[in-house]
Amino acid sequence: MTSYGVAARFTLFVLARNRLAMVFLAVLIPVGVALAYNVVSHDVLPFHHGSTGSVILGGGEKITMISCALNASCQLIGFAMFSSAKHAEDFDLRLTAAGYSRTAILLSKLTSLTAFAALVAAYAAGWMRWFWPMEQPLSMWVAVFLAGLVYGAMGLFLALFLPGQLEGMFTIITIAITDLLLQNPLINKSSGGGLMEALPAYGAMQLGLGAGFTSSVPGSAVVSSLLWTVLFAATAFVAFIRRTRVA
Amino acid sequence: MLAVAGVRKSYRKREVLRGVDLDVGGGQLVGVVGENGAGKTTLLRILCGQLRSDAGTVEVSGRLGYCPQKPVLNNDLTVDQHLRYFQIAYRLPELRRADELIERLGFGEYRGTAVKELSGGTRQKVNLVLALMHDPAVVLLDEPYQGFDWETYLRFWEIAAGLRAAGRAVLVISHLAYDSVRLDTLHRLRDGVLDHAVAVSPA
Repeated sequence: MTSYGVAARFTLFVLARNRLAMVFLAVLIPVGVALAYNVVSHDVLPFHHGSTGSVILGGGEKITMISCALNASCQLIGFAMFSSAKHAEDFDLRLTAAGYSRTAILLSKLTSLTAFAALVAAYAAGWMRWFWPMEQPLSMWVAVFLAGLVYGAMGLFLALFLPGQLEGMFTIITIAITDLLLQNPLINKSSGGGLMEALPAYGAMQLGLGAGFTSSVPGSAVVSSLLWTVLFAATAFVAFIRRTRVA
Repeated sequence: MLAVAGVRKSYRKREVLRGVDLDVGGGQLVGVVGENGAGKTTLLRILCGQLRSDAGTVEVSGRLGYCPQKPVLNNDLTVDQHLRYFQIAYRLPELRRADELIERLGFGEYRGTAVKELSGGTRQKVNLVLALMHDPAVVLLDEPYQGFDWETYLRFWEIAAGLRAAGRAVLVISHLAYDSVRLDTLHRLRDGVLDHAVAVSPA
């Protein structure tokens, strides 16, 4: 328990010292949400809500706000987790070789991911709520939280294969932008289908749209995000166990 | 206390170690020298269990302490936070040995400082303390004094002599032989094998 407690405390401490991530958090999310509210047309448009199969109405600025908040959160959490995993790579190896519990280190990484995603989601959902009295603010928090979990786990996963910070940042930004561009109902009028539903941000976007404009919570969207999180995190953790196994 | 027999290692087709044999007993201070790329670090990583050899055996009696060539630290954590991490890893009830080493290496004033704000030499000192703070029976040091000033360099050798006097088995890797007079035995790693030991000073 001590080993988990100390590892979790230090991992969170290191994450909090990531100044770039903190400036991103403080500035990028409110600026993105405020720009979406002020710049995009407030015209109400019908769009297809894939996970419930219904057509719903939403203001362009609100849909863009959801998209911006998810995009910023995905990039921020994805890169912060990538960066912290990359920095700690050799140190973790030394620590486990010295006898530190690998389970404690893994759990501390999961804890920092969950805590950071929860914080970012609260901040993002709070700013959105400031501009827009939405149907279900709590579900909006869950949507951003799940997006953060998926991309944070993706960051841990990519840290296994990509050599440096620049490669990680570029890859995560590209994936997040492409993913959320395709998910945006203002741009993509298609009703989705299998391929669309298989994208990492699908669940979070569907849940965000449901939270903004309906009173229902699409359970399948939550499952989709959790599956992505488990897939990325499990692969990263198995690789960690293999790497830290004493020869 | 450290017995190595027939260790081989290849990276793809390049054979780096071609049957290394080495014995280091308690109270012995043994050096291994070799040119850049001779495989010294590869050998040490195999000895400490970080790398798997293709063939051969490595036997270590008692706890092992390994000091890597480049400091392996977490930049955002302070010196004290590093000590706390390794205190748990080594299951130490207290930090008496670490306190003593920090005092001897003279960097007590930086215990609350984040490692990234320390000079290269001080980072190397932290690196060394983490390898020795559990008073291991077998000590593997990979050029542990890079970045040390002359004073600290001399203190390092005092610490190494202290380990020998306390009956520890100490293996020091270097690419220079100029500290050979401080060793009991010096080996040269050449063409993937260790030359026969040359006694360089009375034990």
